[in-house]
Amino acid sequence: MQLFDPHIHMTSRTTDDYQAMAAAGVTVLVEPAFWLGQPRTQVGSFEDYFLGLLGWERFRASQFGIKHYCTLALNPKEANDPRVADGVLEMLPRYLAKDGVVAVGEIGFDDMTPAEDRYFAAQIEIAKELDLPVMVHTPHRDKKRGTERSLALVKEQRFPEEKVLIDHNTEETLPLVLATGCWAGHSIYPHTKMDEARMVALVKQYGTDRILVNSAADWGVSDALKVPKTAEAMRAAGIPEADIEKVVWDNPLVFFAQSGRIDVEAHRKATGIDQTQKFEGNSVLRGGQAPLVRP
Amino acid sequence: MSSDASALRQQLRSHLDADSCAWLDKALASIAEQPFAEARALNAFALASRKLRGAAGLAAASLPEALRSLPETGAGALARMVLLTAAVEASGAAAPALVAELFRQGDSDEKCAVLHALPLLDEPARFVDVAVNACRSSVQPVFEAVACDTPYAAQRFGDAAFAQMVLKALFVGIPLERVQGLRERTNPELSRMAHGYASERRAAGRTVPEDIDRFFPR
Repeated sequence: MQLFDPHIHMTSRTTDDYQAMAAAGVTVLVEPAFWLGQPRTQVGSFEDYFLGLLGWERFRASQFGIKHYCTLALNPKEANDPRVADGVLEMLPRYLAKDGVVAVGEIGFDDMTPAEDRYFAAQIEIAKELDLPVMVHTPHRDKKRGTERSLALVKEQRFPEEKVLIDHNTEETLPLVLATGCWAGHSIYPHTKMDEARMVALVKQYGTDRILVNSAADWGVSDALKVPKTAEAMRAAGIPEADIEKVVWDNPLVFFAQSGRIDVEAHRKATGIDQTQKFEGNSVLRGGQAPLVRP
Repeated sequence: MSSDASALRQQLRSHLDADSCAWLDKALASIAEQPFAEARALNAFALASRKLRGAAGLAAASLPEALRSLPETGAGALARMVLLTAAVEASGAAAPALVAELFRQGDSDEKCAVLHALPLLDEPARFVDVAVNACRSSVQPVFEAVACDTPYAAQRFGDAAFAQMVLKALFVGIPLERVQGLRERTNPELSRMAHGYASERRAAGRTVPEDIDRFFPR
């Protein structure tokens, strides 16, 4: 079974993770633009980050047979920083036009400030103009209210709900999301957000329609293998293979294919690996390693 | 516009289906509009691959000489080259800045199209900085778009930049036959560097690329 991780920050991860993900069956991923831990103080820092997602990171993933897509946006936290917010929004459409950009995201709420409201709405408008889906981050604090407000904003903006992925859901927010036409993402984390056992229970209770799981792995304590581990937990709990595949493969593929920038048929065939595209010094391979080639 | 550039435009237009050709014509018209607007060119350049998705490229015989040795090049990539030649013409003296910007803002496919188009541009020597800078890319397809199967580097690079490019090609394991014009550009300094690399490999107990003795006989 091929696996799709619809939310993972690979720029923060090592090649060990790429290797382990590939070995575990992950062939496609989406890397959303996000907060880097350290605040950025210039628009150019965002621009180079976007270019890194479109350039070096895409190449790095390809070295492990993993197809790398990304979403680009001004993230909720930095929407509060007037040094960068307007400049990022001005430059954003230029990069959203690129191949392999499959949504506007992560947008949404962090502290639920008026600035966050404004840039969330503005980026939904940009997505509408460019006919792209949106990926919505829900806050860690006051999550239920943040989710409600996100869903309300989508409705106010008359944005098509089938093109909205509300992420980082919990037991308390999932029913709110499923009551709309939006899709529901779940970030399976070692300690916070959601874990495998709880996810199994949610799938048993709510089924598999519009439900996604991701690792949301980043620079913090997180696990790049949470999608394969959740698939395994669902299997151990007796959930049928077709249902597992829907959650970890079909649903993310169908959701992001709404961008018109994913060749779904090509992904149904396994992705090849060609590490002969190596580069000593700055490469994913180092001297002496045998390149892996899988047609 | 160079005769190669106008020939490519004609060949591509007659090859595309009506819808694709209409999109290309519209994009070309928006680029030709004065005063020139960089944003329109950047946008058309980004969209070209999706707008012409699935369309096959041209047969080698229909391509300008400078593009004939390239690996399979689809219609989207060729359209980007056509758009670039038009944008260079429309932007006049600002062309070097425009080409640098298209390269900087591009994803890897866009960067490759910029580099492959360089020999087709008017006064191509104006764009040498972009090509030299591209050699520093760690994304191998971008490096190859300067170093392999295209004549620009041999025609325009100074000795030092050309030597660095050839050494990097050896490092990466690219067969040196793919570096066009290498035999004409070889010189004692480049040969010294290549043999220095061979010596380093031998000292480390590693294999030495056979191309070193083949291209730099002593």
